[in-house]
Amino acid sequence: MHDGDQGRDLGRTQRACGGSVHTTSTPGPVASSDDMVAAHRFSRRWLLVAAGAAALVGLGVARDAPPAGAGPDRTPEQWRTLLLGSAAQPYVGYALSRGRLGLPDLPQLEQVTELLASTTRIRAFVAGPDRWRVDELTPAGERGTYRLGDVDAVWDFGANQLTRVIGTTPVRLPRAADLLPPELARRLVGLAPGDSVSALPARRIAHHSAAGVRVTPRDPDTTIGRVDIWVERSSGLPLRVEVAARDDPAPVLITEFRDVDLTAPDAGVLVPAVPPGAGSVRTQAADLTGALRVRDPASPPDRLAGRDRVRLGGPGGSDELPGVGLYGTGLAGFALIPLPGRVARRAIDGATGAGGVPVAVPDGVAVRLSTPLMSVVIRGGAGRGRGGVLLVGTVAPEVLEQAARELPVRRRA
Amino acid sequence: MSVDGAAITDVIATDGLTKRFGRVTAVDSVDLRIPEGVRFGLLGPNGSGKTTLVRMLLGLVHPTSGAMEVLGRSMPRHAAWVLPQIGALVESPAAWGHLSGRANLRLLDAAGPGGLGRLRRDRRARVEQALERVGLAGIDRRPVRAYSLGMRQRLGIAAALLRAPRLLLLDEPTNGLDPRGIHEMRALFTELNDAGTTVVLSSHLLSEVEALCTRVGVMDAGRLVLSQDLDALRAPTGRVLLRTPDPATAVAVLDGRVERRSGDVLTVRHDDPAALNAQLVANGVRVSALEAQRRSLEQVMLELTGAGADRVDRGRGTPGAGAPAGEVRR
Amino acid sequence: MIAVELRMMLRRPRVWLCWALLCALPALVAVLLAATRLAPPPGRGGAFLSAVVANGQLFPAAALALVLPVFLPITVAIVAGDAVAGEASAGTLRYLLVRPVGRLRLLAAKLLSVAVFVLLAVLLVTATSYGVGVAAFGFGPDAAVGGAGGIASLSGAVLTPFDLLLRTAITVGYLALCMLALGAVGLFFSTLTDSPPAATLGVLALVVAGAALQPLDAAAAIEPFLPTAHWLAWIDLYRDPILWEDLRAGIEVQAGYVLVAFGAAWANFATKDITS
Repeated sequence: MHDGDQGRDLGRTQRACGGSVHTTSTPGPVASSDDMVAAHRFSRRWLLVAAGAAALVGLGVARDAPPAGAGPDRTPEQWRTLLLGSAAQPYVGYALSRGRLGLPDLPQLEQVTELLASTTRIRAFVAGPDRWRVDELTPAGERGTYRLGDVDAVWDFGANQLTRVIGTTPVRLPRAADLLPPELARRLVGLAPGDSVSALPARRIAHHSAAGVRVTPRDPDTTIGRVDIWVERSSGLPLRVEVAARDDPAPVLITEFRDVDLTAPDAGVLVPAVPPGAGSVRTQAADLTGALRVRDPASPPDRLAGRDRVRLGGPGGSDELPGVGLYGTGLAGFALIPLPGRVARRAIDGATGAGGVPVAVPDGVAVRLSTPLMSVVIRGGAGRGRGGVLLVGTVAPEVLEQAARELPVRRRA
Repeated sequence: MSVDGAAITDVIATDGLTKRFGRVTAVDSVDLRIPEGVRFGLLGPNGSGKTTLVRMLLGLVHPTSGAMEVLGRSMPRHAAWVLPQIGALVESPAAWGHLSGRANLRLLDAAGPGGLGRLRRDRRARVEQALERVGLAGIDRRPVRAYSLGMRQRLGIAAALLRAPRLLLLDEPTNGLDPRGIHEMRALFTELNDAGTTVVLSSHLLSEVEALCTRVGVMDAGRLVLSQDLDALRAPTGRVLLRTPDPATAVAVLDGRVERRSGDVLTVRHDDPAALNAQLVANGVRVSALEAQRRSLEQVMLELTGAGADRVDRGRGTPGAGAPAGEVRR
Repeated sequence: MIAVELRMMLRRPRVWLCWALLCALPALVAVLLAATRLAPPPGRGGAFLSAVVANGQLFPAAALALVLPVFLPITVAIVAGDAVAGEASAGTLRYLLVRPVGRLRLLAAKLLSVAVFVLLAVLLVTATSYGVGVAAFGFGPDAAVGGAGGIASLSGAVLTPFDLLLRTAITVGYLALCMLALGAVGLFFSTLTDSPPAATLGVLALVVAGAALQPLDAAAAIEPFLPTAHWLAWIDLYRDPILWEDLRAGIEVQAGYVLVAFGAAWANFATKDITS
């Protein structure tokens, strides 16, 4: 409707009679303009929201941050003694364990590798050394271990079954309970009583003030570079454990309480329940190794790779797990576990796929895997029906290679 | 008219009102005064800033600078006091499509202040009255999404009338209406205005404004280039249009006062048609028609404004910033 | 405004469709499970699914676990993303604001209607799946005659029907809070744009990003603050005794999201130029 050219022509006309066209309004101040300037309010509101968000995040972070340094002060050696003696301390706690050991999946050992290579939620109710319950909390299930005297009971929600375990074995596969900070700390420190300890800055863990202790292993063959432990000041209960490898400063395994209460749990929660419809079975402790059991294994040699076999105590002596041997002392130890031939072959395949290195052995094949903290050597049998062995430990991989070579070649009887 | 005392008679008063969207200046230091009781027509090409100005007056868009008062109170600070007394139609009517027209009005009314209180009792009556006024009294339960454009327009006007406003701000209120509908609405607005409501309507349709309004404002490229009473605007130009069967005689008689001759129509420079007529008749010139020339609103508009923002000519930097607009500005 | 907003929401066909779909998925799963008796092996499939076959009373928990990761967030994103942007794109936003409805009041009403939507969504899923579960799988092995018996918790201990009801009620509240946090973010996104699908997709992008970052070790530092981080904490309600630690953290984080997102929505909307 408004054509540009036409407008231009008329524009000239308009200038000619421009005097008649004017506004009649008299501009004057209408209102103070302070409430008009939107930009100010705009930034003020955003500032307010940003400050609120920062305060919320800060509150969440700060709650665990400042170490309340109060409490008795002791030397690192005294803390070590205190933590070793904390086994009787009852507590109820919730812990997270984060492992990044990077082990490949080993057949029949998936549960173990998962424990060491992922985040595990653990809940513990501990009344005493032989009266406790530890739950491994999975996203949609639960595996609870109940200890009452010398009877273990394992509740598995997924399997809908309670398993009562008769007897104990001196050697067993790691389970979630072993990753609880007190258990792991006492085990590691107990293995190396002579290693040097030093003090670490105190921290606040699970709302408790905790003193830090660093254990540095002396043994040159161990892969463990340091074990850092923070213990609750009054009871000596370890609240956080970090394990780092010798050649990597970042911890490979961290386990710590998110919440812990140093009082005894209700007696009610320590009793395993069998809900209606669930199964209830009894089993011998030795059967737990299940598929790993080998019929008629060779007895382990008394000495391997320059290390003596550890004589295992226990009610039935060392015969309850035939073929299994433990070697070495302190934090530089390894285990010898016989494998059925089929399992050994699959494990070798899996390990090779995960970057394992072949090892030359006199007879058959072997493969070596080294992670920052743990070394593994799997040796397969030379032919059909031959069993293999699994060597695993916190020692330099060379030690395990040597052990694999030293193992006697076994002919089927 | 200044703030002290006299400002109350201005329902709308803006002072250097400016709105920039990024680098585009949509409204450029507008000083607008609208006295109470008028029918005000805001004219301007598409994209001249009419809608942005209306949105600012309603507190929907916040000014970059400048100040404004509506009904004597500063906006948007006193929006809660000012807005309930305004009925508005902004750009186009809108409604919740899945509800009937009646349900739309009831919900809209309930959403406002006093939704649960005193006003609740007579809501039904007010909704019916508003529907009746716009000629929708007989609508059924059909959802609004099935309405024609004209029906939506009527519904939008009904929504503006819900709370018997002191000020009606209507943006293109006759869009989509047929000639009869336009006539009805014009009568409605005049009736409301007679009852004391100030009516402000913005439009690019000159005829509509010319037929309804008593005062006009013209916007161009964000600036208010004119704000004047329609009668003053259409004042005689000092020329008289003369139609006569004897043009040659007339030219001779008027001797140099004839500015233009086209066929039997002459444009004569003269202030008083009656005197001119007497002179012509006295000299034996027959007069078929004689009329004092007035400027048409269209003429004024074309003189004042540049091309609309929707026209983009080659070689022009920004639309609406054509040369003529720059020339005619104050 | 609040009453108007609620009435408006309940009249939207879209809202009812969302609820119907949410209830339909668990029902379909129940029918298939009942017909085939092919429960997923323990530890695989959705939470509680393997246990449902034995006791139908557990089905509400399984149903919530089914709809939680995808379905529920999608419906929340749709409804919340539509909150302001929908009004803007329909043009009704400007008429509400000049009615006038205060901008803060409008946002509050929208947030409240989202809250009612999610609460009803979770409640409806729970209620219908209880009915469907009991109809399909019965009350479990130790049910009293004609009535609800106890069910096994994840820890093995048996929960009484009252206990189950209580824990289910907390679950409903907790999940509603988690979804409300998402809805508040949706409301914020909805004030940023005039296009409802854009706001909806923004919310879904947030969910997907959260789910992608969560398992990453490198993101461990921010993991507790991710919106999706604590969505599964309600499962801890079915342990015995209840593990409150993660639930508490979840409530704090989700409530924080509601506050911050609503604050951001307000900061953006309070002085926004309405040009739609």
